[in-house]
Amino acid sequence: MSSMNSVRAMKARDIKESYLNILGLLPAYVVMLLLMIIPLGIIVYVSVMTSDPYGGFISEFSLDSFQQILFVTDWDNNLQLDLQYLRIIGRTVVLSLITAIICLCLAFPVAFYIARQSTSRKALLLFLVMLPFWISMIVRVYAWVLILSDNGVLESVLSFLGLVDDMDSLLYNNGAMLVGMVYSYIPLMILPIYASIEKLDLRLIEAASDLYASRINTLFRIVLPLCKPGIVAGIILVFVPCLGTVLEPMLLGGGKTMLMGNLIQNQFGVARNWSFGASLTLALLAIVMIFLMLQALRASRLKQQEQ
Amino acid sequence: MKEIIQIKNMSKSYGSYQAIKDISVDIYHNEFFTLLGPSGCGKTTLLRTIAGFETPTTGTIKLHGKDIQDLPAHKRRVNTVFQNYALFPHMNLAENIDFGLRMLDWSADERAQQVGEMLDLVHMKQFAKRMPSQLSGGQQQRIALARALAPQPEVLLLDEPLSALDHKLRQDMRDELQALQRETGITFVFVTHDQEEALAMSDRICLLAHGEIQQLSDSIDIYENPNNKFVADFIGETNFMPVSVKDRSDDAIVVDTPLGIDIKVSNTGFNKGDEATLSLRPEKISINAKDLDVNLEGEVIHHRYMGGHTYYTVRVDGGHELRVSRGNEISNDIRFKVNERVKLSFAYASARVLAA
Repeated sequence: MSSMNSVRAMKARDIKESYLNILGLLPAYVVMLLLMIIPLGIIVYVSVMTSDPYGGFISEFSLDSFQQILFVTDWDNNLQLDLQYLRIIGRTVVLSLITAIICLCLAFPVAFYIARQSTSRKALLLFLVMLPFWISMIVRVYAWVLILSDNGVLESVLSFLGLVDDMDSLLYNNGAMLVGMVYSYIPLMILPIYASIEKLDLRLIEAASDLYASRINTLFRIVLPLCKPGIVAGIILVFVPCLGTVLEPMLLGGGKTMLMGNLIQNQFGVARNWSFGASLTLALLAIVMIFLMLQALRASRLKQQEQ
Repeated sequence: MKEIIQIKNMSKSYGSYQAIKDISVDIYHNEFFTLLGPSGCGKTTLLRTIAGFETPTTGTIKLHGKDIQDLPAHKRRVNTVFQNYALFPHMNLAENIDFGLRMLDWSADERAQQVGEMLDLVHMKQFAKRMPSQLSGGQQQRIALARALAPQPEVLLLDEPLSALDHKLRQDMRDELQALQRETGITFVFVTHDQEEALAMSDRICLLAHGEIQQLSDSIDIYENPNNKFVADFIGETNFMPVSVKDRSDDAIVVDTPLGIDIKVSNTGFNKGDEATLSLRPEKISINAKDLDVNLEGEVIHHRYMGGHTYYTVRVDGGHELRVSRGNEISNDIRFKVNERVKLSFAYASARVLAA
């Protein structure tokens, strides 16, 4: 009997403990509810309503906004495939990927260099990497407008040096957006890669060269594989915000070349199509989720292999 | 004896700090060569210049008669066993051993065979697919050895490879390392700060201090005939006492000791009136045994039991203290008590006179 009692007592204690655990996590749940679940719910709700051409939306269920991503309705009320939004989505994904790759190529040597400095210099250099975040993003992106514009800083310098006479405009194209995006997000690549190089045992590099590996072989067979966690984190940190970036297409793309970020922004602004904006937002979210899930899947498969 | 590594007038400086000062040394084929010294003596720097991780400031290194001081590490037929093994954490053991062979472009068949043989050599065949993190220190040590031996280097460099192992394992690994060196016939250059390790394994020991060679000879010679006070002090234990040379003949000198007696030793280049240091190893002094050249009376003031032997500190009449070691070969009941009067004896031949 006594053992039964003690089992019951233990169960009661367990239950009490699990209540306490939930209670302790309550603030986190509240934050998630307020800042994530509710806003997401609003977006989902708006996306399945009918948009009001005068702004806002009418509470009337309709999936038209999702349809609109792929199709247009012609005069005879027939649905026709229309690729204009798909093209924007595609351009966004491709530009974001290219940004992530360029950031990786530029950030790796920088991170490697910083990681091999003395402690005090490391602190200074990392501070410099993060310094741009202290300045408003709009100001920083606008600075690129001044650099790239006709008779801007870059053209003046180049023509002063006699390297060019008359340049085609550097602004308002994919290239300009790419420059802005790489510039804006590269710190997010440097920091995680720095962290993983910092942890890298430099003796492994010596060991590799001791075992007849050239510098290139050492880089590709030892350094990069061991820095993979940092590289993956950096790619995600750059790629994901790039997908939703607004300022670069607006200022550097000149509104001519749309990316998803400013396409969505337009729907809630001048285009007055809230439902379409909401459904585009969900599409963007879906793309991000797919990439993150692929990564998570790969990571768990790797872990299984190791065991 | 043919030289495989010839180091000539090598110096290495870091800013104003001179890690190695004008060292010249030859290392022979098929030899177990030990670089011994306290930390900061330059032994690791010397090893790293042979490996190619450091470039000497001045001087030359020859491998097989060819200058290699400007050759990058990956072009030297020399492999290193690192102090903390430096196994590649993202590769399993077979891949770790295979790495060097792959870089040398061995064929797949040759590689597979060599990896198998190396795993056999270090008795780790069943672990081929394990990751380094799943191994104990001793096992990692073995794989590091196998990885360094696999490409059949001309010289194997070992940078304090046993220092991270516990005492018992270290003893076993000493025997294994020595056997491995005999078996493979590869020249081993072994760095250690542990004089016991050096004495136990080496064909020759190069004792370094402050970036300079203090003595280069075999184990017995370096212990029995130290060149100077530093060597006598670093290798084993000894009693030092200041002496002055009282008399000298062609082959012998007589020194005046603080023990109140004169000792006659073979002359190693001293003149009458020189101040010098006399070194006398504790185990060369016997207690209450038969008379030798020198016999003294004294009182035990301290003893320390070490298992195999006991150290006694004896105050000789006249005040000077001597450390004496006595093997406990029979049983421990004939130990000498504190305050017990004993007779100490030693032969002239046991004493060494070194420069002050």
